Amino acid sequence: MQNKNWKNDFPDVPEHVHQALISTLAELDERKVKKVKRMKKGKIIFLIAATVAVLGTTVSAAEIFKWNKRAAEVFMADEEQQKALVTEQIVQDTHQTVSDAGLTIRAIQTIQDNNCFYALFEITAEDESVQITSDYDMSFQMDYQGGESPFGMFGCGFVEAGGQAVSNSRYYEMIGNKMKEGTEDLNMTIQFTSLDAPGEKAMKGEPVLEGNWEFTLNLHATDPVRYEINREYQIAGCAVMVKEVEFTPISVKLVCDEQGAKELEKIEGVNLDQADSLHSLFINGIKYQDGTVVEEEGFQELWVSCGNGDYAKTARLSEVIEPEKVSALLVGDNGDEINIP
Amino acid sequence: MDKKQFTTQVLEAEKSLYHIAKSILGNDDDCADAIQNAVLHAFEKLHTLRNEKYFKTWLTRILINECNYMIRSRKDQVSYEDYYDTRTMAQEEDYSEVFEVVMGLEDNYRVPFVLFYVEGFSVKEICQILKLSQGTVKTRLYRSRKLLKEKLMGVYGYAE
Repeated sequence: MQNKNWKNDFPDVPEHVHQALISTLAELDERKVKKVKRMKKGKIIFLIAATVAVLGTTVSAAEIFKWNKRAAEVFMADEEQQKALVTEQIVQDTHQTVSDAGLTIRAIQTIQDNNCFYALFEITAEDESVQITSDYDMSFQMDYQGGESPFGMFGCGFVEAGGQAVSNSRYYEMIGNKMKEGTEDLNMTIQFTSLDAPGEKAMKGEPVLEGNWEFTLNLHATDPVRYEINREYQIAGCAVMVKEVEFTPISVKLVCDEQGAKELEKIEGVNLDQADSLHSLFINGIKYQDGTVVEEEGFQELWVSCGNGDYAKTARLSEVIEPEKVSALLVGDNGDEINIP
Repeated sequence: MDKKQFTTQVLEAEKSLYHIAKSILGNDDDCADAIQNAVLHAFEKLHTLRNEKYFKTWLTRILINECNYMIRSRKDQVSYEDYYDTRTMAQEEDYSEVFEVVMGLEDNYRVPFVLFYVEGFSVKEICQILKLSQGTVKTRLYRSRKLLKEKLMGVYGYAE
């Protein structure tokens, strides 16, 4: 059994998968975001100004602004947490609606911190015979004021069938992981250019409706709650100096000394040059002061860096937390506790 | 590594990338999306690869993260198990019975199995890629072998 050539029993790469890869490789030179074109004349624009941001009275904003149900489900936030995130401007109500070519796009809500970004749109076709399923897609361009895309990974798509009944209207989500911690506000323009029908396999389908729907998002970068630890912990039998831990309600950052990480590298028999994560420092949960533990589901790691004396990693949390009430960060399989002072 | 070298190495790894994505996602359309996203992500993060000889391991880990991320971000309302249970492989394909049997393994066993036996990664490399200890990887490989043997006995009357 061990000598069997299993590869022979596995399928070859289907042609459409190969073509999708070829087209991706061909596009690598064009990865820089194109500049947004001017708006078309005659387009109907309803732009209700971003009242929350403009008013600047965030406490009252928390009172008047209700989270969208879908966003609340994605981030698993209860009512109190929802209010808190509005107050901290991590969540913003964008209040922008643009109609063109028989399609109305409503930018509903954005959620962002130093490490991640989420945007929720509702896309509605005037023609009720256009039934938008999760296999449909949107074409769009993004423009970032003052520079390159901050995202190392960016995903988008219509909400899956299980999440919403099929009709002429459907939620559309964008999720971005920032390449490195961003401390500045994120100002970006998103210009949708078409609603596309499901394509053959992974290829993009033909446009059903073409137009110009442009949105400007000015997203506040929230200061994390930072704890200076500077204490040595025994992790997987190794002395590791934990320098600091940062929390926002939706993500966490852990900074250890590089020397300790290198010791763990030897113990785990891994190579940080090869794949930059240490199993014993994998963020597995947080513990509140009252002893409640919020476990992480894994696969939430956003980025890891090792160098200049530090080993740092960030992870998105699977549900909204209250940073001020956290008593410990739990790492590794054994749930080693890194206590918060 | 320049763009040409990057492209060459991605194409060399294409079949592996497909097999690995297939073992996690099942559906060819999802595999194409995951591979595309992983390649774009890898290209953007290329400056973080410190040793080019580990390119394939590095890219594989990015791909697996992308597959898992795709499951999480698109299936927020569905558990992993439900998603795996309801996913469909491309209906028009005729897969070998052995492949079907491998795909019938639980996820915990299938992915390490594919990485080790199909794609030839070492146990250490699999530990890195899956963020698992060596003991866990070895145990999963042992159990996957045992399960496959039982299943193949059921298909062929003997284990190949």
